[in-house]
Amino acid sequence: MIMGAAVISCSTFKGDPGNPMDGLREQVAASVLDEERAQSILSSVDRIDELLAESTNILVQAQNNERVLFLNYDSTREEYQALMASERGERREVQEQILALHLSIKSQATAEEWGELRPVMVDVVASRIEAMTSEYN
Amino acid sequence: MLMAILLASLLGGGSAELFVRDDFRAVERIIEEPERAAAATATMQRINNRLNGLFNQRRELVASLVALDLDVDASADVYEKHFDELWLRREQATDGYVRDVFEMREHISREEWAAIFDPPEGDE
Repeated sequence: MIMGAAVISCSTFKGDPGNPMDGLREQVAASVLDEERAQSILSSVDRIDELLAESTNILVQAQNNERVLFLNYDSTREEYQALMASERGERREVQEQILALHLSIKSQATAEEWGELRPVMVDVVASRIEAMTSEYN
Repeated sequence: MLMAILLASLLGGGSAELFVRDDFRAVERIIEEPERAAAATATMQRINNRLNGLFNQRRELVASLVALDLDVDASADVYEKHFDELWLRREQATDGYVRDVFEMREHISREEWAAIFDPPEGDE
């Protein structure tokens, strides 16, 4: 019952058997035959995976902090504003890094490769969001 | 794609509502004056509506970004513009949320607050 509340599964991170990012890695290997570009794209995918885990940790920590503030009848507006600003700064930094990596992948892939990678990326999103939703509900 | 994961991460999880039916029932059960209880639940509902609005905006933005990914020539500026708009809306929503929390305190006493939102185990 706290703003942005959701308990997000941490079970889908890099290296775990059910990590949907592995499907994306496989697709990169299958679609990008130029080894140098494939490695570069895979390294971006790995970094995005790490940043998503970091983002999840930030989110879970923020929810815990927000819950503490909410339950404390004496918490002040200044405390809320400081928490929100800090959380926003951390998340925005992660967002900007992921966007840069995303655009890097897009620019390194040819139009044909991108056409094959994009649908897999959509599937990755769907499974990630579904995991988040089912963990919450 | 990854944009959408990111959006989900930066905005929160899969739920669009903060207070569930049990929270509303607890307010109505614990606050004896109907007018005060109604004022409290109205504020709680406003928070839920605020989050629903943000949730829907997120969905719209995800759709926009998925479409943007179709355009191989879409520039970074176009992506960033979408994110700037989202962050602005999120900041407005969180500011409104904080205002609403403090308004809730005007309707709910300290003891009622604890009984409603942090009841001892077994009293939920």
